[in-house]
Amino acid sequence: LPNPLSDLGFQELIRSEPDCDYRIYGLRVRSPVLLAASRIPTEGRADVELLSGDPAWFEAAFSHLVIDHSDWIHLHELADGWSYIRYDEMFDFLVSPLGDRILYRMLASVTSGCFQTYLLGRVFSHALVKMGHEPLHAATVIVDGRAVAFLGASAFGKSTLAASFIAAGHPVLTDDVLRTEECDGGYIAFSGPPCLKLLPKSARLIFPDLTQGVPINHHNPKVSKLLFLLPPERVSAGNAPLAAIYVLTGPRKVYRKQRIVVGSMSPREALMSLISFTHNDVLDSPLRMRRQFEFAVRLRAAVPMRSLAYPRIMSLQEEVRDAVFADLERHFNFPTSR
Amino acid sequence: MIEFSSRLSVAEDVMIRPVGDESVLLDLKSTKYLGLDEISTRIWQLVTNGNALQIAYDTLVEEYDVDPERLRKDLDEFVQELLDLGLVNLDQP
Repeated sequence: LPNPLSDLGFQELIRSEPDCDYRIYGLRVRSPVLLAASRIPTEGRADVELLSGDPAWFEAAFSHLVIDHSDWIHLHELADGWSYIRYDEMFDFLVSPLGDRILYRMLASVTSGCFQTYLLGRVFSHALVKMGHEPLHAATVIVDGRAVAFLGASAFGKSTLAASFIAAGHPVLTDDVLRTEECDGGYIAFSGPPCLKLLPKSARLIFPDLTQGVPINHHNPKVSKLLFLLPPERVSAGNAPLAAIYVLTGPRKVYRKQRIVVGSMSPREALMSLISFTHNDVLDSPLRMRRQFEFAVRLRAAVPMRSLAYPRIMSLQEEVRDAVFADLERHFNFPTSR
Repeated sequence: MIEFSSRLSVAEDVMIRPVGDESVLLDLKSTKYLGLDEISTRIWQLVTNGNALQIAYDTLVEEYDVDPERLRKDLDEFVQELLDLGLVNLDQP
């Protein structure tokens, strides 16, 4: 198989043979497009099916919308329960009311890595919410067989922190989208695709050769992140119990000379952080809001949460990681060996 | 001033959950969340338990070291704010 993230035109990676099944976020995903994700035997009904959509459907959805042309991402809930998500000059998607089907249309030739980034990120998290899940905006690593999540908004440094854990030999469970569900009195965290989105300066923590990274957006110079396919030893393909959640303080709220602080959170702060950093606040039906609220209340009560504030200075990453290790040892009885 | 013989009921579209000694409240109409600190949580419990506001007032006078007149004013403002936000309904006596 070709490297699914290689910088080839998207069309070159479309399969003409039967679809493939993948295990992503704990779900069976069927796709005609080669994805960088755990392959599983194709059988039975898929939880989520990716399909090439009829351009007429997209045009019909698009023609009824008032588009804000100052933005390049457009997200709309359609009257019939479908969602329309468009990335200008790249692709657009239609997500079914139950989240079980994602239709795509290419608007330009993009890399498979680019397509996968948006499909398995924002678009898929949209489908997850419609399926009744509450995906969190978190990068998650495995320490001592347990999942440790870093929760925060985009550009908070979650993936960079995850990369520093990889550098210390701790695999990544998921980047950006964390699906977690109650299980045996605790919570289980599901693995995502074996990829990491990183700025070039962060990628150097673990990738000496940046040419391995694929630009995730050729069209928008503001998006300079690269997508890296992680080798198997740097990825946890299995699920893991969620042991702790660290809520990252926004980079603009931390002075460059501030020391690294790992602290406790009041239950209310913790709950509000979970709600704030759940994906897709655009889906705000009363049903979803109730579910999100209850999810956050239960998760907060079951999984310990701590705050993590640190200056976003690359040379400090190792120190930040060590502070998290020390906190895990002190508060959650993680082994002292790192 | 709100009559303290009145009773309050939680609006239909409001959810509240305790978190530790505090609470978080979700207003489904506005899709806004509100946090209540420990004291506000206690007041919310007392004013929405179906009893007249006077009983909530009497209980708070006993529980907190506070000037009764100051408490009456604060409680009135708190209830008024809840009403303005549509979080509770006022059931007149």
